[in-house]
Amino acid sequence: MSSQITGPYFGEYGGQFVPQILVEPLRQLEKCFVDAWSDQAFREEYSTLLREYAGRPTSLTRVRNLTEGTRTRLYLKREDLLHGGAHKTNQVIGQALLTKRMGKSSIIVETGAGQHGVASAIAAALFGLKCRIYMGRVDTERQQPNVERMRLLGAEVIPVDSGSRTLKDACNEALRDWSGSYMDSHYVLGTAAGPHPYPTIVREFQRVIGDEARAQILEREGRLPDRVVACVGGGSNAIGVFTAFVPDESVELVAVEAGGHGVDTGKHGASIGKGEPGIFFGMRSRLLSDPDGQIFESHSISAGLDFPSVGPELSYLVDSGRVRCESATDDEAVGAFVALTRREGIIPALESSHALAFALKEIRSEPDREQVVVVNLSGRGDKDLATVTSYLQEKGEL
Amino acid sequence: MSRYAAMFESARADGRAPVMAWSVVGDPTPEAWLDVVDAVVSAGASALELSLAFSDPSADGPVNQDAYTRVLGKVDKHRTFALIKQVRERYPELPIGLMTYANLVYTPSPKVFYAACAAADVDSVLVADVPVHEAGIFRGVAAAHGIEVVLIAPPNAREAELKAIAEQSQGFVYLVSRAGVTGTEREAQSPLASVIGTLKQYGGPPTILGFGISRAEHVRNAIAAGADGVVIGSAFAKLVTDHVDDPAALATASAALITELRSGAGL
Repeated sequence: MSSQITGPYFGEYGGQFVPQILVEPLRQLEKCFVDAWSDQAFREEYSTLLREYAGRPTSLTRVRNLTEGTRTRLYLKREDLLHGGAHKTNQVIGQALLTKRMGKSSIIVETGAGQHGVASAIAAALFGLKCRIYMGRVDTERQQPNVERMRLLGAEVIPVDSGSRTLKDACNEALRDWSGSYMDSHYVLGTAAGPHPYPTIVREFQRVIGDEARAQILEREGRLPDRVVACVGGGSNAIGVFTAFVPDESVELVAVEAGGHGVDTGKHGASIGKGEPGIFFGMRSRLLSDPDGQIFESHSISAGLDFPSVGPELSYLVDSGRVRCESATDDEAVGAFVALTRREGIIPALESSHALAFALKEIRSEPDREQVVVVNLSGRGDKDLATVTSYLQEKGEL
Repeated sequence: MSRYAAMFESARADGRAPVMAWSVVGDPTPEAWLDVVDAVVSAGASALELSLAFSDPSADGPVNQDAYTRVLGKVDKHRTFALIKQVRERYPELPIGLMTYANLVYTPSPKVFYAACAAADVDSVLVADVPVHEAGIFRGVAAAHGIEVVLIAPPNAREAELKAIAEQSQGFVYLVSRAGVTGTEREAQSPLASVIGTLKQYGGPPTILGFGISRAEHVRNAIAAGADGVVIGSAFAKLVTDHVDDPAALATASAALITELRSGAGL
């Protein structure tokens, strides 16, 4: 028996692996989204909000100094300039509109770094929704400024003390809340992952990144880029920037995961590169778990990439060969963070720094190749100042 | 006749609905857990519903998660099945079901999991995060190993879903008394007579009501609503929390809980 309106699977990945009680709210959400997405008035309202409130389109900035000595023209898609400080705002506005359309008065949110939490708190303030945000205790401590932002915006931030007290535990807690509150609450899932229809909904709300970037690069360069690079935690900024380019076979798509201390150390977040197919957080996807099936605690210096699984569509795109999967370590990410800050005057989020680190490494390894590369700069780094400062102090570099 | 069928038949003959006991295998320690099993079976528990410790039990409330956390890292899967086998050898006629999460079944492979169930002579497996429309992924391999598939019927299910659950659930249907996760913080709500009626109408197996049952009164209400039996979960996990360092007191309290709840199970 299947009741889905849009396809729940991407190859073997995806599905709806949730307690039976959540099937009905997921069905309601799917129906609402499908209706809304074919409703001109809804789309008009959504794109007006993105333009006038969130600040779209975001710039495509050509890097001036970092690529010196190479023949690469490197562009940054500036999601760091979006209201809220990251790409998260794109899809949260969409889901807030869906919440109103379903007649619900509250939203439930999980957050890791706090970027999705902040974006949700902003949308809740704008639309007059009550907002409950689950955040692992460990993350509330390492991302204190975002916790204060969320509380100032009027959201309730609930520290999660179960399990590893990080993002995956916040995800579990959000699902638990929703199991008992779906009647008046919508779960604003933060990435293109989780049970169907979330991976599809979040992709559709995030694809504006790639739609814009594709048009902008065609205008600037008169041709498509050779490569588009994005970091991957759950995968929403990556799927957002990739989707428009998927049919362009000449464009190489590169997903960069959190290499942590190194992908062979066991302390990383490389769920595509090092994971196996498994079932967690409502979906079948690639996943880091032990031989018994217990979910691993991932590691990354960036809380936003510190997640042991990944959206099902990205797993599928990697398996099918359309997306190349790579990783960058904590060290490499901090290096790129510092380089972009000092040489271009842009402070990137540590998450986005992973994409930049890998892109720069490849660019420098082939200095004579004439090429056009786009990196999705998914967020800004204000939230990471304390983390980076103490990291550099420990290394004696500051 | 399956062990569940025999259980329901003898319950009818005795005039007392089945009261099933849930726990996480090995909680709080393997030795103490085996003693608790002996105590609840002696006190009249009709069946055991056993969970394997899991890192991310998103359908369970905080009391049950504490139970998983106590066991996690101490009792691995291999040890878990060895303990279940020990219980099976002691109680050859007792229905034993597993309640688990999909990734534990899926990793390393469903075949390995159901083969382990068959080797321990488990009767059924319920996977908490697999709803009826995804249940096909494990159905074939469960059947190949002679393991019954138990499905959950929640209060918000549509008729088409209840029909599918009635047709596909084997042994019994696990009826959820209210929205939310496991736990006794929220008591079992009043009767789901219409859910039960729909399941029966489509020829479903007997129903067992769970979630939030901790007193004889809850059992009486469940039976009055038409449930064929009950399962007690987090009320046991809470006893473990209360007596974690005193296995003898834990066994006594667990047996007392079964005795109390059975007093509400008269048909």
